[in-house]
Order: sequence, then C-alpha cells, then structure tokens
Amino acid sequence: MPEMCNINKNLLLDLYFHETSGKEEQKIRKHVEQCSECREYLMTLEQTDQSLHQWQDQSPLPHTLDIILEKIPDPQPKPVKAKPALAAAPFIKIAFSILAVLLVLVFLHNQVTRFSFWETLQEWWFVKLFGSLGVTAVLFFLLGTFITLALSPVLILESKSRKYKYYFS
Amino acid sequence: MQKKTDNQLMKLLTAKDKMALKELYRRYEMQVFNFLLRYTGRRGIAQELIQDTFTRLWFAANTFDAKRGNFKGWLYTIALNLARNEMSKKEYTYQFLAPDEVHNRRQVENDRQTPGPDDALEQKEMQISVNNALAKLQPHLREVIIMKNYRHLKFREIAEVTDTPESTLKARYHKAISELKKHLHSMEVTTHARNV
Repeated sequence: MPEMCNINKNLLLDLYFHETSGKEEQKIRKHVEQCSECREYLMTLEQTDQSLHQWQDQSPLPHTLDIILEKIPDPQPKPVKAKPALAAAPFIKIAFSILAVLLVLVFLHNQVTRFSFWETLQEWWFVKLFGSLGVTAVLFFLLGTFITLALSPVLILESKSRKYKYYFS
Repeated sequence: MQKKTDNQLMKLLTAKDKMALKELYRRYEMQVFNFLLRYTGRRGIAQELIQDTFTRLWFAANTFDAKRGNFKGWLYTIALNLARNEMSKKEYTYQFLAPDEVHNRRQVENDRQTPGPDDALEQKEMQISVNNALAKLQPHLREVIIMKNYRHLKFREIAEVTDTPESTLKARYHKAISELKKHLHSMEVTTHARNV
C-alpha cells in the first residue's frame, strides 16, 4: 500500500503545464522521482491530455466573415457642422468681454470717486500719472488677483479630489 | 495590416476600420470557433456564437483597455460570456448528445459496415467519446479544461477571462480531470466491448 502523498496537487499542475519557476520545478521534480502517487497523477494528466486531443480542431463555415460584415453597419461619415454665418463670432465675443470689463471699470470709477478720501488721493503722484480711471483699473485687477489667490487652495484641493475619484472608480 | 499587433488593430477597430476586424478574425477564427465548439458541443451553435462574438467585438471595441489585460483574454471573455448565456437556456440543459454527434455516430456505424482503415474509425469513435465526456462535465469544469488543454492559456490568463481565483480554477481542473478519466474510461470499455 503506497504512502499517501501530502504534496499540494496544484504544484503538479504547475509542473505539468510549465508554470513554475526554475527552483520550484527542481524541488517538485525531486519529489516526483520518489513519489509513485504523484507520478501516477502526472501520467493521468498526460493521458487525459492525449485523449482530449483526439478531438481535432475544425474550421467554421467559410462565409462566416461575410455574415459578420453584413451585420455591421457601414461607418457613416461624420456630418460636417455648418460654420456660423458670422465667421467673426470669436472676435465678437472678445469685443463684448472687453466692453463688459470697461463698463465695470466705469461703474467702479463712479463709485470710488464718490468717497471723500478720493479728494485727498488726487494729490498722489500715482493718480496724477494714470488718472482716476487708471487707478480704478489697477484696484480692480488687484482685487481680482486677491480673490483668485484666496480661492486657489480650495480649487486645487477640489481638482485633486476629483482626479483621485476618477482614478479609483 | 498583417504586421500590426492586436492592440494596434484594436485602435483601428475603435475607429471603425473593417480591415482591422477582418485581420483579427483571420487570426482568431480557429481558436474562438473551436473554443465555442467544445464548450457548446454543437457546431451550429458555435457557428452562431462566433458571429456574435466578432459582431460584439466591433461594437464594444472602444471598451477594450490594453492596460487591463491582453486582447486574446478579452476576446475569450466575450466568447465565454456569450456561450454561457446560450447554454444557460433551458432547452440545452439536459441534452448531452448533440445532433452533430448523432450524425457522427451514424457515420461511424456506416463506416463499420464498409471496409476502411481501422485507424480512421478509431479516431472518429474517440472523437465522439471525448465530445460526450466533455458534454457530461459541468460547464464551469468544462471551460477550464477547454481553455487549458486546447487553447493552452495559463491559469493566470484563465483567471482573468473567467474572473475566478487561480486556486479555484486549479481545484476545478483536478475535479474535471478525475471526472473525465472516469467518463473516458467507461466509454473506452464500451467501445472495446462493441468491437469484440
């Protein structure tokens, strides 16, 4: 009565299908040389493999590809979008943006000049150099920069969290 | 087109290039067809499923991601899912002997009456035995055997295709081998007895 072998049979599968590393393979081979049970199992694998290969490969019907191609619609050319009649649309957008900024500046200028401290500022060289509208513009852009910088940490964190959400999804 | 890799062809397929599909079909028709044939055991169904597999390949090309796995595995996944769906239909559940096999068996009987080469006859009988033995296996056992013994995929690749752990697949393989051994042995005994 042969002794029961305790080797994991999965290792024999790895050996038979050459899915082991070199060192591992040597170890298993050594064991198999001494173990009749494992040799018998490997023999079974080989015999079954041989039996299965009695069923040889067959070909599909010759016109199969034609049937597949018939099922597939012809790729439609992408409809070309008609260009807007007004080709200068981007320039109009830019012009409107500039106009909007100017209007805001004029509005701000009107508001600022109503304050009492404005009179004292008139003597300042900067105001003399750029004029009251220029000073308002500088104030406007400084305010814009300040708001952007104040919001930037929040915006950066938000964009990063979105990126990781996409990555892990 | 012939020199392009599978992944390059898939990129072309995403852009709806029919030549890419033709080339991929040429490369994999035999592998996929025989996989389906052995899984279903029926030539007619395998024929329909190979059409569905490549049609789906065309429509789902944009979902292929080369970073996730190779093209071959992805193609087998499509074929396997289609075959599983087809075989889960009630009408196939209890039918082991396929019409093709019946036809083959009749052919063998006819051949036996007319003198012919014994080897060819034996070959045919063996083929039927293998077909029947595979048909008797449970589908999840059959698919491991087919992918391993006929298509020579590694267990790691089969794990990707079937979305099953390697250890489970190996356990299934052991079980499938012991059942196949039993079925093939009983069929050999029957064939031998009939020949005597």
